[in-house]
Amino acid sequence: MEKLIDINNVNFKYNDGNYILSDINLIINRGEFVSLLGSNGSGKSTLSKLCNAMLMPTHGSVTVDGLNTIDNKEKYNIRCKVGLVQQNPDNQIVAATVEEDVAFGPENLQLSPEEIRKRVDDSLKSVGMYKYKDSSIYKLSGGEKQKVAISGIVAMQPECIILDEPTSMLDPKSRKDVLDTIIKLNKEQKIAIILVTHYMDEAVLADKVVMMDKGRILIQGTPKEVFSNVELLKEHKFTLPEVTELTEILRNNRCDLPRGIYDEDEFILSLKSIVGGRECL
Amino acid sequence: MSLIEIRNLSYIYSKDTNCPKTALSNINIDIYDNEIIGIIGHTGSGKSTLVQHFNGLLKPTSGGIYINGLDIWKNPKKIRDIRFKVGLVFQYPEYQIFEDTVYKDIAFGPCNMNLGPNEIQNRVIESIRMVGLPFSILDKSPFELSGGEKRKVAIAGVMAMKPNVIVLDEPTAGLDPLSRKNFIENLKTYHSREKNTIVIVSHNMEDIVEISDRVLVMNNGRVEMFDRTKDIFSNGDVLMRIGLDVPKITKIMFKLSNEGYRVKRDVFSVKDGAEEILNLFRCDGGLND
Repeated sequence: MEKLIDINNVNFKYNDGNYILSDINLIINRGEFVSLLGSNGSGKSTLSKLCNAMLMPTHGSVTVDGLNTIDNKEKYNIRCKVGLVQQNPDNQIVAATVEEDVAFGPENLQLSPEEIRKRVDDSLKSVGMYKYKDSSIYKLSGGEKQKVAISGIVAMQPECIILDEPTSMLDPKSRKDVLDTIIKLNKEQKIAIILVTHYMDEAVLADKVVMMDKGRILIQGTPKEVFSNVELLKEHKFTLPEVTELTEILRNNRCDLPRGIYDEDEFILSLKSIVGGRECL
Repeated sequence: MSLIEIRNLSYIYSKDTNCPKTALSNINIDIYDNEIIGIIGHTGSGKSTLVQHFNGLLKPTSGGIYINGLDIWKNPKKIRDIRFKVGLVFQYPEYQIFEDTVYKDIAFGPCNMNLGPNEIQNRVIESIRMVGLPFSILDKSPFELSGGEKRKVAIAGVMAMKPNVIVLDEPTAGLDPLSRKNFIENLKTYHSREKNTIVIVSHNMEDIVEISDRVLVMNNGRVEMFDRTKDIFSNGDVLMRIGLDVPKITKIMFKLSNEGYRVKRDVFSVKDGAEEILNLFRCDGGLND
């Protein structure tokens, strides 16, 4: 796999404060879907801001597609490659109608009107919001606004989109809708995704899960690798996905289930395989 | 007698313009003393509009709201008294913080209630403990705090007024799972100590199940269901049809039950779910034929 973002031995602090991030080593590959988990104040948002040159490392280096984020000349290019979507959709809307809002980014890239039109239409279609292109943004629901915000980034044709808790204000259906959109962009357009979240069921959708604790990376790996380390996660007071928690309780009651199950259907399959065989008491 | 009584309440935004929008139509509900009520509903279903009627921030377009049997709009000049009885914590309560220390911010409400200095101090300390923040935070500026901490300070500020009814609009959105769990636990403790009434709006079904005695389900400005928590979440199909969900563990039990396993469908905690599954092993085979 080809590296897109390379975070190498990074430490970070604001001015004279304490270190917020220490010894961070993380690689985001092209087209990879990475989820970033950790308690409030563990450094997730700070880390994501280092990825598009909103913040610079105090020590160490961050490169995006080979460009170092401390290089002032490249800042603009880096931000075109890595876009950021925030938690509250109301804080990131700049125009009155949907298509104007999405066009804001491409307009700033000084593209031709035809190209802007094309990008706006394509990106609205890719998030399923094309039919709302003339609507007033303020009449949309939270989930719809969030999809418009994502569309605004997609129109910049980035290599990577960082989403900082994009679903925490949304109802269950809108949440699913936004997640489906993120997955689609990742699978179909091969855009790398960094998803900052508190929801375990969102985190396990990723190729790679990164757990942050007190400014350090506690563990990183596939969802299966990470959620098999139940003791470590518990010791650091992480909440397990419900299915993993359920599996653990059953295992402790001598049920012969494998570790690291995080998917409902996988759980049911594993349970089926033992329930007839009476392998536990 | 009910504590909050809502009769035929409707609310229309921008009523006298050419684009009026009906947010609530014909709501009839009763909330009793010492209950914990959960409110769920899709975005735009009218949850926040409804709770803003509880303390008279919005005036019904038609219909009425009665607290302890008294029509709160009978004498609009007295509406301020209602705000001491019913405390409201908005969405994004961190935006309500304005003082230069956490202490002063929490003390602002009690100060306006003309309480003595000792009482104010006790209330500040009690509320900061209730939201699970260390005392050392009291001297800090609220603006140095993290998002989650600010939210807790704002909630403590409302708790310190000890209202009979406390209404929380999405208090746990954006909190990490552990903070969320602790917050819900602390809220329960506060409830059993103060014997007050709590109304909590949330998109998180796990929180709602954990804390509510009864759940009000809103859909397109109307009451879809209002029943005991257990009965509401047994109606998984209805909830999903209107854009809501059941807790994840409940979903697993639904799936197992649909596969023919003899498990209860009204299971809302992982512990109870595990117990149900272990029972499968205890009785024969565990599969329905």
